[in-house]
Amino acid sequence: MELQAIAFQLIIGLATAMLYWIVSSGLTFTFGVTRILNFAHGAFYMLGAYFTLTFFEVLHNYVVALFLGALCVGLVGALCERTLISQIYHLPIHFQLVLTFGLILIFEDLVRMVWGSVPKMISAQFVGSIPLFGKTLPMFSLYIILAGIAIALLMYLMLSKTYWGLQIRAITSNPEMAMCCGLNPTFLYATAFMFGAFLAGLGGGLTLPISSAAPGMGENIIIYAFIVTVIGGLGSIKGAFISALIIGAVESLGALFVPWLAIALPYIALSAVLLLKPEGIFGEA
Amino acid sequence: MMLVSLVVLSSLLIPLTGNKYALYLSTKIWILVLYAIAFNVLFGYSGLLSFGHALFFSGSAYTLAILVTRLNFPLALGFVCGIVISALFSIAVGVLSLRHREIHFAMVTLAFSMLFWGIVMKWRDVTGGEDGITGVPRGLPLFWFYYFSLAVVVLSSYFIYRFVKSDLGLILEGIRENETRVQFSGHSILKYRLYAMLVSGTFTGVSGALWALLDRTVTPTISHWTFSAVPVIVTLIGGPQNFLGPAVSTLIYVIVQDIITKYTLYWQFIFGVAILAVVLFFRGGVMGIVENYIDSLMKGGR
Repeated sequence: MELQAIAFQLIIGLATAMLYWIVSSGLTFTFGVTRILNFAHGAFYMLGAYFTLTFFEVLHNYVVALFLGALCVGLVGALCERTLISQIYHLPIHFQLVLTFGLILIFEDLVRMVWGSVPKMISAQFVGSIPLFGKTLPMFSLYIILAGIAIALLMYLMLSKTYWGLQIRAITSNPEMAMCCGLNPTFLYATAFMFGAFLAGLGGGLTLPISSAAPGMGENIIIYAFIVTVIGGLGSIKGAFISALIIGAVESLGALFVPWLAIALPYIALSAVLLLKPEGIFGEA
Repeated sequence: MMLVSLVVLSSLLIPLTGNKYALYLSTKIWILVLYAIAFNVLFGYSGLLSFGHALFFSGSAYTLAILVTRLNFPLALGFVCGIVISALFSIAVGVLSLRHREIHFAMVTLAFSMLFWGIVMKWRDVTGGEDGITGVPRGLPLFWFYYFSLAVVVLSSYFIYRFVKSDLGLILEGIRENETRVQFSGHSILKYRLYAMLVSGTFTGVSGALWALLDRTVTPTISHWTFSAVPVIVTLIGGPQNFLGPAVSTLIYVIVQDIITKYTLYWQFIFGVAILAVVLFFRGGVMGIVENYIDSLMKGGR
């Protein structure tokens, strides 16, 4: 019985982990390529939820709405990169944080202007549950786990099997050399940013079935994305995946054994990792 | 210096106008001025970007509110305890975070302040959760509280000024400019940064305690990371290299916010656009513009 409870809790933890992974994958990817730590990633997440919502209301097909929504967020991301972010690549880190914070403020108010301040939900999707270990697992958990794995696969294929991925890896590991070989940094940085925003938008759209879209929804999730990214090593995609798994497991087991401490556990994990290995699990020193 | 004394002296007159709202707003401005100046000890003078100063601000505000309303501590004792807690927080966070630099330092401070936010939201019995704590006594009528805050803020700012202009402050600026060199001359980087953290966190705590008394309420808003972003942005708008930069832009920030919210719900949008403009076009901040203007006047005169 006890063992079953642990196993069940681990599955729940896996679902949490996959949600964290989906949100932090784009953040760490964008940082790895462009060296910009994008606070507005949370705003893209929020936009993803709202775009998906609107497409769903028109098309009544959740999966199509999800992809169209994320694609739109990707376009918004590319637009931001071309007009604003590209101006600040050479500036110190605090200018980047503050500029992307400004973007959050702007996007949140834009969302309020267009969709209003009241949280919005879509009609039920992925409801129901399946029996597992004598308890019931919500369908949504299963679906978010599958989505997380799908995104990991998508990133793997994009980065290691396409020509674009090859170019991205080249410009990440040695920008000067890559440019000498004739790669176009403007195009690559813009598309990298677009891909990161696309992933954030996907994350926002994916959470719609269980949580409503609200103007402040990105502000809290971005903190978890930061924790996951820093633990995994800034810029490391593999690191983000593994640290999301760690955080998910720590959180779910913590909720079982030390419920009063549960909320602090991700932060304790963060301090522990940073004390032992300041650059993160897979980070470069 | 002349200008500062003039501003302080003229602000002595504000309560005499008898306008309660103006009085409340100007007290708030003074408190946020101290928040920004204390933050800038770490940012402008030590080159460390903290994204978690809401921890020190709300740490002292909550300590004061809890001690006074739940445990019936005398107000003055609660005030002092709040500041002491902020000092302890800043040492604890400093020990854990100061070995990191730039982005990692920002992230670690952010994480710890959000940990505190999480506790505040969840520990309902003590902190009141999302509703916060109401009914904190102010001890003084607003009229006198204004003078009290003004005195505390001016004295604290003067202390901070002496601190950053002392030898210690010079070493901190040296560390900001070139860490290795300062290390070679035999100074412990970690120790000096911890001093800066302590001064910055403690005086942030002073402003937090004043805030709790002014509003007579504490809510989780002041412990959320978006409240940590306030001094970061205000300092960048004002110009971090100038001691008064953060103070000047706090004034602008509160007054402009007050005016804009009268006309539109979307003041965040306008503020966001202003941030973009500062980062893209006026990186020296307001004081940078003023200094350039004075420079060009001097050159023109020659």
